[in-house]
Amino acid sequence: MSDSTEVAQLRADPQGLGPGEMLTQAREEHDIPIEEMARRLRLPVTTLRALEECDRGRLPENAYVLGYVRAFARMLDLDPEPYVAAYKSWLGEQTPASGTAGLDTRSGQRQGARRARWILMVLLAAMAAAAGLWWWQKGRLPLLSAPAPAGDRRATVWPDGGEADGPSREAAEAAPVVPSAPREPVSSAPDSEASGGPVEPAAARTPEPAPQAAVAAAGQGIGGAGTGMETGPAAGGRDTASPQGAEPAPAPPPAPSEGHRLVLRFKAQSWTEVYDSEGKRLLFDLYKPGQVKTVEGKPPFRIRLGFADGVELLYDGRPVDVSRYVRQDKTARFTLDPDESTGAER
Amino acid sequence: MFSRLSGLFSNDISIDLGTANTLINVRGKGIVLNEPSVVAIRQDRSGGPKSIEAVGTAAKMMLGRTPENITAIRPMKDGVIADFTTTEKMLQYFIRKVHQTKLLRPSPRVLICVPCGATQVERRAIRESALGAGARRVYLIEEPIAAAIGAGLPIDEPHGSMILDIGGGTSEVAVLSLNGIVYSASVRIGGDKFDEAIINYVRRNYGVLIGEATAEKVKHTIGAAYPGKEVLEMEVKGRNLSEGVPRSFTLNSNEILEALQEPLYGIVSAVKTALEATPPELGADVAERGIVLTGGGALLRDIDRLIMEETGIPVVIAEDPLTSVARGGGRVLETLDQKKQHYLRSD
Repeated sequence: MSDSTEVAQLRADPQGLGPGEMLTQAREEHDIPIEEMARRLRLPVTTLRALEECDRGRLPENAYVLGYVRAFARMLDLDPEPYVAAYKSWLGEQTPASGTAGLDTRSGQRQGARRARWILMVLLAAMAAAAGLWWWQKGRLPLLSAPAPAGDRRATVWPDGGEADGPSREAAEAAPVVPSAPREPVSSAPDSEASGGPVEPAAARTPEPAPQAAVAAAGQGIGGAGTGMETGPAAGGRDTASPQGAEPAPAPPPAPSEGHRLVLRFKAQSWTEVYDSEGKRLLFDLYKPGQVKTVEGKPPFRIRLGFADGVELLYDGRPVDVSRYVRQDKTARFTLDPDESTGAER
Repeated sequence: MFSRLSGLFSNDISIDLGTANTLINVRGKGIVLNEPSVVAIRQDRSGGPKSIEAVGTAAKMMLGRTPENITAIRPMKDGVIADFTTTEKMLQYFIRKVHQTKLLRPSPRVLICVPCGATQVERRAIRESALGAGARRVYLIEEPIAAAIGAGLPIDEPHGSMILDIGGGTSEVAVLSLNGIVYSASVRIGGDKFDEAIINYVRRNYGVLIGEATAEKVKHTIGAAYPGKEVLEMEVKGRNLSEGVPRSFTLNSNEILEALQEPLYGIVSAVKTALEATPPELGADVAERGIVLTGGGALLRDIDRLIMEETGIPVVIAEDPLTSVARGGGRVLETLDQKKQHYLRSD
């Protein structure tokens, strides 16, 4: 029978030996007196006797006691683990583990930190949700409010039959027309302009009367092919569209327009940025020679031209001299403000 | 600010940055990582960029078995950093490994155990390396203190406790009392020197060259520090230096004992010196209770008996000596938030 099995049986027996008696028995089986054993282990006899008698008061800390037991067993060529396990069990009943002596673990602090971590995570999630909601609202507002960017307005104000995000055709027919004039000159038609055809300056045209706009909305739409509102001949075509089936709406007085119109004609390729007073980006692209861009917004406009000499600028039909803003690198950055007494530019 | 915020999502960790093995103890979880301090680096062309091929166990398996474009290196030597960049990469890998379920980049507070003989430059290198690996704050603790706490010694009491930590690169001996070090010494002898001694012995006596991995296996299997009742044997293969071909031969534990005499003598001398330098009252405490052995070197067969015979003082081996330092670091981690710190140095 191996020693381990023997010890296991002893421990299993309710009348079995204690850990100290196990050591004593093992020593006596090897016929070694306690004095000789103490000499071999370099331990005081009193300490060894206390170990065999399980006298906790005369023994040092647990780490030493378990080390003595391990050395004791190994000295007798026995497997130390069963003896160590027995002593651990005994020491566990007697005293708490000495490993944390002098160290306050403060589990409460750890729990507090964990709770704080969860609260912070919830707060962060709430902030992220709020930011997402704000961003979504910001993205939608231009669609709902009047001064929408050119591209958006084309989709919402003048649905040409296929736009899902704009007001429906029935709604446009039934509802009294809101004269949001001038709402027409939003974007240019690069395709037609690229062909070199003459482009009528948008500023030269008068704003469309509201009834006509309503009729056009209720009728065939503009351009018929989703080209949106265009300057030049395309816009002229809309004027000739017959308002079939549309009842003539009472013509409300045209609302005073807050928007002003900028026309940019490109004689050479130029990077162009135009922002209105609300910081809304009206133009932001590289334009080729021959292109004409018409934008409308609330002044003052912040304008940046990559090649100022290659751009002609008209503000509400009046030409703007951009040459005075041209820098050495041929760029121009300036602000156009109609409120200035000197004229349109500043 | 951001690192403090992200620190809320990182666990405080203590690192036993050993020459042979790196152990990481995560606060509230215990030891979660125990891997060799080895990094394999790939460099496909001369002068080209280097990349980490493997770290830890996988890299150790490559030691001595790499092709030309891969180099398996041990960035720690003699308990301190020998290769700063590689150590930083290794720490980065280990820190991320113990935080692998987190979304944010881990930014933990890190407690690192350093040899008591490390110079200020070496300590700074360890600190910078940990900061570079993503640590939010770095604390250093001397290895003997961590080992004593891990072994469960009552170092806060007015009793002398002597600890001998035999690591891979260094052996630290210290006498502790009232949460402080009364005496400490560090000798650059450890498991690596044992391996080296075995390699030299085999080359000298058998004319055969064996690798580090083989030497380490011999040490674990039949290594002994004191003559035992039975002689163990082991078959070893190496390259015959004269013939240039692999050859097999048998080593026994007495030969390894002979091979290890020199490094063992160095450790015993360090212990004797420490006992001589210990104040009498504390020396009496040590003589009554004994010396506690920790570290991987404590697993060398009968090393406790050797020290016991040489010093005449009882010697006990701590429970699970390989992890004593890491466990001690883990216990100190629990006290990081306390105002009064007895053991730590954060600057």
